[in-house]
Amino acid sequence: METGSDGDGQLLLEALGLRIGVRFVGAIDSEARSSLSRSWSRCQVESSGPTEHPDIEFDATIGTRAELPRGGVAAPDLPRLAHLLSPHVTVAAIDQLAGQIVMLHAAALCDRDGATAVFVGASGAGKTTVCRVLGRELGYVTDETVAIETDGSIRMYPKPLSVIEPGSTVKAQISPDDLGLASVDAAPRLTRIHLLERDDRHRGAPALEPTDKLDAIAALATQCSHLKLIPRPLHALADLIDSVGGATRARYADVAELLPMASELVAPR
Amino acid sequence: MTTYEVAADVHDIYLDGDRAAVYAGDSALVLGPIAAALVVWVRDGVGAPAALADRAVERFGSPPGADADALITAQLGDLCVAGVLRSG
Repeated sequence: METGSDGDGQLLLEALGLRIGVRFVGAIDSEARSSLSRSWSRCQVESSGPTEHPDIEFDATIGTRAELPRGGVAAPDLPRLAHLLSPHVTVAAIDQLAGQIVMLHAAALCDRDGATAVFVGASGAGKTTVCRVLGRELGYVTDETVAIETDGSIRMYPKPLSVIEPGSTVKAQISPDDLGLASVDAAPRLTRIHLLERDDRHRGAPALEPTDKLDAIAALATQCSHLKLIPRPLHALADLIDSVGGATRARYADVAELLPMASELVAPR
Repeated sequence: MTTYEVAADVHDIYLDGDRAAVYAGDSALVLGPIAAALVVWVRDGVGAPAALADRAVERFGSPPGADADALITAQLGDLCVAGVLRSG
């Protein structure tokens, strides 16, 4: 959906509990707007009316940054604009929430009751792949950033997934709807923390190994955004780990082998 | 005389049994029992190496075949390099 905004159109998104308005300006035709709108299908929200002021607003155009006097995202074509828009939204939301909530660089998937596993890992660790595979069975919460309240509730961020397509140098931004990922039926709440460790040398079934608490704290700390702005940050991470009965290392060679374990991955310990 | 204090850029110290995690700068470190004890003692105001070595010997015993003062000084130096402590 698009909401009216001075004739150019606006994409109104909800990301990590924040409302983000992306104002289309300049040479973005209706086809390009529809494509971006489709990519962000799970994050879009209805405007409450012309008086609504999103928490964050920025401009987006196909062109150059010189066309954006208020700042925002510009790219020479639609694929590259879509590619840049996703991290721009993510960073804007993360920066806005700095110091207010623990934010992990992680994917999250939940069952029909909202029991949610987070899969923590650096870029390239396999978070998006985990979502594409396990998301057939479990509801897609996010593949990028998980914001967790102190009571364990998790803020939704079902952004487009970045997918490498043959022959393209830019990752495509694909809607979770187009990838057939399951939707979320209940408010997600943290039940498991898995540290992703894909290892081509791993043999046999995937292993979910209990992890030393301090090692888990150190691992999570390296994958948090603005952690130092959280009061007593390591204690906050320890509380999350304690709340789920400890973190695990998920060792596997092929993510497809995790699929039969989908229920186990989210089930409280 | 050299004394030690917790570095200004240490954001948190989390104790778990006789070990600790420390968040210093942009890094989180896991400390073993002796290093964890040193950091806690320094945090609590014991900054002199000799006093720290005495406490370490009292808690962990004398290191066999080695000089406790030298070992503790080396450990304190490592903690400074890691950004956990600073010497003054």
